[in-house]
Amino acid sequence: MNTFGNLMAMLIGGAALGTMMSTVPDYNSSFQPFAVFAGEDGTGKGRQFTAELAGFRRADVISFTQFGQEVSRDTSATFLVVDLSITGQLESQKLTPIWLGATGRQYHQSARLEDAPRVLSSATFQPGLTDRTVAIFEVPEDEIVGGQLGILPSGWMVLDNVVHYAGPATMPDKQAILRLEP
Amino acid sequence: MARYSLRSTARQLRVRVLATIGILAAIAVTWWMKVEDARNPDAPPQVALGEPVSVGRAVFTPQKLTIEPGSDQGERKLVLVGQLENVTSSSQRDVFGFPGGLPELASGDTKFPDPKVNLVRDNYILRQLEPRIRETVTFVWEVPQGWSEQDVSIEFSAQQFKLNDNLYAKASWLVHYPTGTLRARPEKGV
Repeated sequence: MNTFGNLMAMLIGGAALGTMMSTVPDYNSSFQPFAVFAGEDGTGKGRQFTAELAGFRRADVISFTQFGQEVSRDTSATFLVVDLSITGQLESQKLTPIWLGATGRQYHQSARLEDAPRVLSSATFQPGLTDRTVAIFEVPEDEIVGGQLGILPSGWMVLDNVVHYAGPATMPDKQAILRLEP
Repeated sequence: MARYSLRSTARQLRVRVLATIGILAAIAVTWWMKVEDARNPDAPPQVALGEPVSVGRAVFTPQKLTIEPGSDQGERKLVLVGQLENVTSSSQRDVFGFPGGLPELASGDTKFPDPKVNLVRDNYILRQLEPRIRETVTFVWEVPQGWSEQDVSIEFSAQQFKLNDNLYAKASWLVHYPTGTLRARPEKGV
């Protein structure tokens, strides 16, 4: 093969490799959990759990009792409280909620309220049992309407589901102090 | 007497010209890298009170440095107050990076321990920083015995961000690098 033929083979090979590298999904995106969307009745089913969205609330301050002491937490924005009812499926499962704001930003459950009663990220859901739980986020108010709730299994998520729930159509009612009871 | 063809001489000449060009290019690139290094010195920039400094996932704007009495008799603490804003698109637990990454305070030969970072509004420890929610925080250093009031320098650092890492093509925070040094004399607190 002459020099021109060698050069062409190299160029075509390089172009083919570049095309494959730019079009093939990367490892990270290939192993993200599959998105599942909840029905209009607010019930969504993942591989390991079924969750029913009961409603949204807002609050400036959240209070609860911990080891006999009154605890009160405020925020620089607003607390968005999502009430849920979750049933485990095959094995004991911990779940992680994420609020996908109207601007596309991801808000994790507030770490200031991890000790509050019935908080989703602290709860373990058992197979066949249904529990009431709350997911609490600190968000700017304009992230609420148009946002989405995502619930996914904690830890290993490969080939699992993240269940999406539509956010509220209108701004939820706001309480100055919301008390969480066990 | 050896006889050389014109074609052979031209080939040798071409190889030598190419080699010379390569060597000159390597020298030019090396020289330009040195020039670039000289233009961007390694020393982190000085930061003044009121000027923002990157801490990686967030931007911190220092506002006031005071020395205050501690809870126990004779105990003192250095308190740096400022505003912290998450500049990523998701909630961050490791605001200053992981591992380490907290600002380092130095003054004379005295070694200060790592600071505690608290929210000003309720003095609760800063455990997470949300996007678009600016928080006023305090860095609190316990002052070691024997330290006399003098100028202090506080070094801020950030982790290098890589959008697609080489292994999993996911966003990663890599090594720390210095982003700024605040030199100030602490005021007397209340």
